Amino acid sequence: MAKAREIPEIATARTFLEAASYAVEARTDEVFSHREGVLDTSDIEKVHDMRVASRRLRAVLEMFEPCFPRREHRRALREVKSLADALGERRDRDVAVGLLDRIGGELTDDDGPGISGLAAHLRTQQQAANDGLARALATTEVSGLKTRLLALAADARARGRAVAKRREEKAQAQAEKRERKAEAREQKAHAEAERLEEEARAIREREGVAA
Amino acid sequence: MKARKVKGLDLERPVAENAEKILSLRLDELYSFAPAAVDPSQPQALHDMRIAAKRLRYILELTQPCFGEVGEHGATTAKGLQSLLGEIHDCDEMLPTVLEQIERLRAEDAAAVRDSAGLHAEDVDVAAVRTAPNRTSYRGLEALAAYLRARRDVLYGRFLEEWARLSDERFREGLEAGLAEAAAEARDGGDGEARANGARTNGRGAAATGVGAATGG
Repeated sequence: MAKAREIPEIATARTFLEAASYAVEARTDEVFSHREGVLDTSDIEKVHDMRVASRRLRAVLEMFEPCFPRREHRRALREVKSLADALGERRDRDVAVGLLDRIGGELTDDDGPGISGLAAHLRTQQQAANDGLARALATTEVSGLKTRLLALAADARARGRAVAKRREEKAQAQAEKRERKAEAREQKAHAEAERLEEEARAIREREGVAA
Repeated sequence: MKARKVKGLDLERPVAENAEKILSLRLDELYSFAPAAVDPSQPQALHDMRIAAKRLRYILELTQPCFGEVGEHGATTAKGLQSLLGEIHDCDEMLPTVLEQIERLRAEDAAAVRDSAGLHAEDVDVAAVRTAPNRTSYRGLEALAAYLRARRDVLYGRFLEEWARLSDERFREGLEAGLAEAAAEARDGGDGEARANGARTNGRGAAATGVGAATGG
């Protein structure tokens, strides 16, 4: 099973919004990176990998839901769920057929007819599920699901960066204001010190004259 | 099992702070199924727990750069739990399929034996049993059903042991403490270098200090 791609930008993102963009982008790329050969029933790992990737994508869409425009998000999530369901239907049959093949290998010939009969039944279901998966994949292509997900990510990133920039500018303005106040306090203190020094000098001179 | 919505997320704050709230809720969901999951008469609870473990795992995997070893350990544990529950689920799905197949074959056989007797038969001769087309098919299927029941029992026993172990090791408490520590660091303003390098601490329950806070605001 393909391991989840680590997304180091998640830790360095300045806002939840920005992190959402990196997460959705990475998980979207992962899902569609498994597209090639997924309808080949002789290699069931491709469906498994794509299914797990679609679950991870669904998880980030749910986690970062507040970061996206509601309507676009709901539509994208619904389509990801449909794709995940179609992948699941195929995967469940793959697992069942695989188990029957292994069981059949362990039993005697006398035990065979029942197992092979069920396997044939499940292979028919597997093919039907594969046809369903083909339709689901075609739907995502027609609807431009990948493009829309990446657009959601790009939009969140732009908004996240704008928020971070505003915050940094505000922090800088506050820092500059504090610095100006500190300078003004220092100047005032310096002026007061000079005034006191001048007064002290005047007093000393008057005392010197009196003496 | 629909995921509960997380309240109080601040989109302008770093991931670690918000992720702590999300993960806390997902942990809560996972543990909410525990009392029913350890009751053998409630298989649906195991299914719900598997979904909850899956959600927890995927978020811990995603936020691992924020939470370091604590998050990594949490993700590995959630993955193990999800996998085990998944194997139990496969048995729970497969067994009814096998039993339905057996029932289908019985129905076909009964129909064939009945038909062999003729439309106006008053009885069915025992020899008609030879006309049952699936009479040699039951053995393998019954063996398969027995295998699935046995496997399910063994896997469920493993789940009970694993769940007890996690309880003894205070997995939930350790993970929550580690996440809270990392989130607090993010709120208070972590060291920028530590954030970039993903600084880690040892042991469960200790914080990963790989999180930096956004400045100001």
